Amino acid sequence: MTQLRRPLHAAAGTATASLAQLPAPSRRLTARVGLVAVLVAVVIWFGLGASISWVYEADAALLAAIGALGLNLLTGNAGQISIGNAAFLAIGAYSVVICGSHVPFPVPLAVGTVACGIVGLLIGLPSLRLRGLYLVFSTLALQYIVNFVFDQYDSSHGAGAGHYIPSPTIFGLQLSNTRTWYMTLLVIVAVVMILVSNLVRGRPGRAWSAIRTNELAAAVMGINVTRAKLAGFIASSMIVGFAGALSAYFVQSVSADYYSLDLAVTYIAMILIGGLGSVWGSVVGAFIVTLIPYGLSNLSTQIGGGLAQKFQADLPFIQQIVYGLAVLLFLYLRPAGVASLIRSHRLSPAGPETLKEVR
Amino acid sequence: MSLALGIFLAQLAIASLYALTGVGFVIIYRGTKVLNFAQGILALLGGYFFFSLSESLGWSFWISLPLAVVASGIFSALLYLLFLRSLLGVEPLRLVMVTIALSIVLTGGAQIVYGTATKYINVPFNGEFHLPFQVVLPTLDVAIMVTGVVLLGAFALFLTRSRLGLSMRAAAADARLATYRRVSVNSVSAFTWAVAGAGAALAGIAYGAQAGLSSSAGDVLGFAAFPAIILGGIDSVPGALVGAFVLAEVQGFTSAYWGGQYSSVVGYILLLLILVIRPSGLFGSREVVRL
Repeated sequence: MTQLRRPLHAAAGTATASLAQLPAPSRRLTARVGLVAVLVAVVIWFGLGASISWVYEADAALLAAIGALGLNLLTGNAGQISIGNAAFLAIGAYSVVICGSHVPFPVPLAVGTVACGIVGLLIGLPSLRLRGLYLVFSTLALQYIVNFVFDQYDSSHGAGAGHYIPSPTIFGLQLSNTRTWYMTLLVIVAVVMILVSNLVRGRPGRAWSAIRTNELAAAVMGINVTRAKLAGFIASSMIVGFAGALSAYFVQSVSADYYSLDLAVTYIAMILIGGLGSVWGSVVGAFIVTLIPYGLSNLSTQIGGGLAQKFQADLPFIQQIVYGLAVLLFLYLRPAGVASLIRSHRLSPAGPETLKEVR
Repeated sequence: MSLALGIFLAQLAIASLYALTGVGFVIIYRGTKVLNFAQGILALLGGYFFFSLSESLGWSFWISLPLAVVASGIFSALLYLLFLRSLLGVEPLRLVMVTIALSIVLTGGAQIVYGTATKYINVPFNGEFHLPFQVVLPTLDVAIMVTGVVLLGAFALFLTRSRLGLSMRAAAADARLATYRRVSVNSVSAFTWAVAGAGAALAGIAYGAQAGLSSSAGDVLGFAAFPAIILGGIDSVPGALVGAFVLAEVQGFTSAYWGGQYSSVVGYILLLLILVIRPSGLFGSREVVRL
């Protein structure tokens, strides 16, 4: 009995100790609310005060962030690799083109989103019932097939220079101003972030995390692995398609050439740099990857003089090399992405270590 | 009849190109579990190495060819040793992205060094063969076919008959068990990458002689063989050969009868069909597909 009482005493002791520290979590909450408030203020101030070219780049980054959020849901959380993002962006954008001016504004967005969901189902069904990297190949096939189809569409409609998309109007307000876009996109990105984090924290998210760790164990636990992976792919495709449709309204010109494999690769770079499975990481990664080329071209014009003259012809290739090196640097120095700076206790997905041991 | 025969024979050269890059992809995947998206740039660089030796330095074809192939092999092994060895075992996506980022950097570098203009490679195969049924076949195509058949046959023999080939297969099957049998998995993996790089370089040189080298040739060479690999089975060397043959013939007849624009898309439709019907491919191992 005495033996038992001692630990009980000790437990009671720690309980009182933690009672004394009760304000701590609420203080943390206040700090968090304060941080978010400051962030919101800075972000809105940027939209109103920064130069128009910076706001334009931020718009592009916010649009990319929606696509990255969709992709990260699939890759970071469900653990499936897709290189079909450009294809889904294209399907979203061409839904807007094909809907044209026949239907009012928000409807083409919905059409693009649903179309991507259906294509996601068709592409995901054969490859996601399998384990392994088959989605890489089926999405690569999708990329080429979609590119071919829309290329044919372009040439049959005599739109070699791209299809023009007029600015949309919501509640009598025309969305054409760069700053108006910025504010609208802020709201949309916030909504998508909340949607994705709810999905990830909820039942589907837990199923995905189990599948990512070990498919067999997940199946033993009663998770319908194929259905969960398929649901993840469809949700991801719909978000990416929505981003594609929205981007079509933003850039106002759609042509098949833009939706290349290189574009798909930039989205993979975003989620890797930002951090796999991190909602904030997707947004941060989208900003970093979108702003690298812009920053580089700004830098090169500032260097100026004879040096820039000399390298003028090679500039795009130098940018390409710096971009590739930046991605490599992130992959080696910060393998868990920028998100690991913010939250250091993030669970890292367990990988097969045996190969590494041997070599 | 003669048209069909002509297409059939000409596509054998294309099949040989697919096989040379595809086999490299397969052995790298089997040996190091890396989906090597840098295979295309390895082919392109091989072609450029050859171009430097033969056009810029003016060396003869028979000296430039082996030198360029060996240089590409060494380059490829270095890529593995410097960039990929330390990452083995991490999530596949990061490995894929490393190979993509490497090929972005290398493509940029190649464009600075060699410019954007298409570089044509001159080879001493200029004539043509006149076969029965009025089929005319360029000597270059025949040379590419013969190279592919001889080298891949030799490689198959090497894998099954030689000690090093056996070590390669052992290391690919189970890296840890192989070390217990005193196989240096590390050097075997580097050698695997070297072989893949050398094969890709040959494909690059052949492609350069056929169609000319530019940065887009890297994409073409890197991705065109994907349907062939899936068709044959992602971890099967003979599968890659059969897949390359089927893919090249299907593409050849599609573009001849329907139009050239369908050539690459029909390959990817084929890929999707295989994933639906038989995901392990014709010769792939079943274990890849469980669950």
